[in-house]
Amino acid sequence: MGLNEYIDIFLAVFTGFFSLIVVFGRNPVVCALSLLMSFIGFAGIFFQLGSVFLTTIQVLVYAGAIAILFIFVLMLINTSHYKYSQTKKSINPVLGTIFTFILLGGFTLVINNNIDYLNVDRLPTTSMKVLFVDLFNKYLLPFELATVLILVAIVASVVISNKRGEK
Amino acid sequence: MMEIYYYLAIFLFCLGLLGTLIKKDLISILLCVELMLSSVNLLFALFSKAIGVPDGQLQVFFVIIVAAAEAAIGLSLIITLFKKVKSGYSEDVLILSE
Repeated sequence: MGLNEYIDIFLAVFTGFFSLIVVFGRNPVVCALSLLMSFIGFAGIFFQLGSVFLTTIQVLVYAGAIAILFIFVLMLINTSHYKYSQTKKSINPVLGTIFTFILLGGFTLVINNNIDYLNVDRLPTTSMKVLFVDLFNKYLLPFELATVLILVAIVASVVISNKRGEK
Repeated sequence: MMEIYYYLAIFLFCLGLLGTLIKKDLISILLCVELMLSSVNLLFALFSKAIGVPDGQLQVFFVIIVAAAEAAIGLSLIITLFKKVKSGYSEDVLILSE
């Protein structure tokens, strides 16, 4: 095993560990910070896959904007003032766990059966030029629609959290 | 050894689904949804590398845009709900069913 294999295993364990904290942590602040660490792990995995563009986007947008937005909102609303409700009418956690494990088994089976076609060992780096020529030719319409989506999201988040709209 | 990433991606997807089903407070549910989106991004990148076309990586770009919009709107909804009902738990938010 070379150095790259050790890095692969380390990144997988790192990302999996912090994702486990996200799901099973009690404190929402700890969960959000673990999500940030797990996003950094994802960025490392993208780098190992030879995709510089995705590494940049992951660090800039996911770790830099989305995770920080979550932490910011957690600071804004004081989580220690959470009011615990009296009624406990939610989905049965046992049922959810069983369903998830069945799904996990199915996915593992699918990957196991097709692992011969999914070889990604040490492919060359995808150049930014190839990606962006595709983005601005083949995917021009989705790109423009995405800008409209972002604009709508900005307006919607301002309107929703606007105080004057409430009666 | 890079096949380990396929198993990591499906494991993280199921982990995020489990968190979405069993978590009670709304912000943690949104965090788990982000985890699911991120694991799907990883699968897109892996398949794009395995097939040898760059389209999957552009798909990741669009997924990240949608995730950013979703996080912004979801968090503003949570803030509004917190101001209205003073709670961040999903079982306290029964405005539509009452």
